[in-house]
Amino acid sequence: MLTDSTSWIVHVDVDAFFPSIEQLLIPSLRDRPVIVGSGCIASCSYEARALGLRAGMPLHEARRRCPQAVVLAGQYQVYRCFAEHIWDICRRYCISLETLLDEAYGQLAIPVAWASCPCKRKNQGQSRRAGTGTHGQDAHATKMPLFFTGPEQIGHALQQQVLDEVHLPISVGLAANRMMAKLASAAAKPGGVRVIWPGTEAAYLAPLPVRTLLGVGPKLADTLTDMNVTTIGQLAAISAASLRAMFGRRGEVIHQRALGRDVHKLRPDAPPKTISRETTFHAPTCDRDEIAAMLCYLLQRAMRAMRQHRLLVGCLEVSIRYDDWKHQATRHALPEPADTDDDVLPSVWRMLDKLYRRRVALRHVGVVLSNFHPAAAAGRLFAPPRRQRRDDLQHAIDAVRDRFGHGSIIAGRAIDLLGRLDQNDYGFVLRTPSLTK
Amino acid sequence: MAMKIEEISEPIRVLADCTGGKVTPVRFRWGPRTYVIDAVNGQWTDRSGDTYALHYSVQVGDETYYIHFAAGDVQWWLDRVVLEG
Repeated sequence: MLTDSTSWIVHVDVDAFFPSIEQLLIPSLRDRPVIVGSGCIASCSYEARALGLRAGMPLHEARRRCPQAVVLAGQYQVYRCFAEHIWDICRRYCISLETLLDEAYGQLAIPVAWASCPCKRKNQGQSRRAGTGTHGQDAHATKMPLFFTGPEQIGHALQQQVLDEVHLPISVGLAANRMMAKLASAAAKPGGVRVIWPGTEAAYLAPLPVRTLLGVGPKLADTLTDMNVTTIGQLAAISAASLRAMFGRRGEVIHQRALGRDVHKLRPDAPPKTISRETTFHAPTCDRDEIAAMLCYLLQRAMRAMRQHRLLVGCLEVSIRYDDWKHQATRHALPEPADTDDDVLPSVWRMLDKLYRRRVALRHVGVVLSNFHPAAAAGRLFAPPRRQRRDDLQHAIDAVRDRFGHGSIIAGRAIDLLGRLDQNDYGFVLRTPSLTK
Repeated sequence: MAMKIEEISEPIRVLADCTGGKVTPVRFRWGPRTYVIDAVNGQWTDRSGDTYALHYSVQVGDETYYIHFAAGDVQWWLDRVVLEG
């Protein structure tokens, strides 16, 4: 029986996330190859994967390979709602949860969940005898057991609960650290549960190709292959000192990982290192007003997300992609950390002028905020009244958007998007919204 | 078989079963016609600011309808129809 689950890390991955939701919502899509994406495949169903389609493949090639596939542009707001529901279920099993778009890492804490359940104490006697839990009426519906004989049972319970409530398949991996938990869930796909027991990590990893190890990219894998190191076991047999001599600090980290040790901790509340927002235009455009409006809108969204973390931005990057797929980006360090849109927008316009020089339409624009500073540490003690009024206005706009949705106020040059793009409470409906956290 | 998605965005009247703390649409009236819901394919809650919307994908024969209840204006909406063929 599992007595101390605090050291178990669970990795939850939603199988073929976007197409699974589409197949759930439109029954006629079930058992058919489904592609979600515009321009290229963002995600495809297992039926499509069986026909050779992969994420990232251009849509024209996907259509050529699989003419019977159903191509959908995607409903990213819907996907986000489903993801939130799944993460809510995961939180019943975890004391901390780090969520990404379609996957999450959590630290298992069933005893905590058990102690905090109000109906559990009431029904403790019967439940112990019965071996199954009751959460009043809801518990029967959720079928959440009170006792687990091991991590695998927890994984199955979590999987079943997601299936019962959200009707989506997930893969669950459980291990002593993040890296192994992710490898476990990858091995469990589709729709399985896999446990890698503490102490067996090195043996589990040994026969796997080096390329599967976290931190080993194609270039490093080629270098290792040239050294006749093809499996993780062979990599682990090389001393840490030798790997350090060859690859520097990275070599030591890789050695640790080859032994199944991952020092990367869960950081559910860690401030982000970068915040980015990017999108592809519905049709390539060389209309400067439209480009500026989109950049303004993306920047406002990124800045609002940053302010929610109570951060100030120190560095700004603007990127564009031309219709001929040529990509350009430029970065600018702000003279002082800023947190209001008006402080940053002039730099964006200068960067756009510097970047957009060719007479070719743009298909994609994006902004990246980085080099963050804590807002409290850079408080303005003697801010001039005009500056103070601007800050107050920004906070008031944020408060309205928090209450009524981002789309409740369209400000600045983003107004030029009105009439060009559809809107909902969240703002403009973009063709390819950035969904990364 | 080709699939066609039509965006509608029109207010509708819905008869829903609200027992057991859940809202389950049973039938809806769009224009002059009443549509009896055969099955609820899926549902999700969209929270935006202080308000929320209950979304449903429902099946009426071979057709899939996306409807939602907007709590902010207490109104049901027909969002889109998915037609086969």
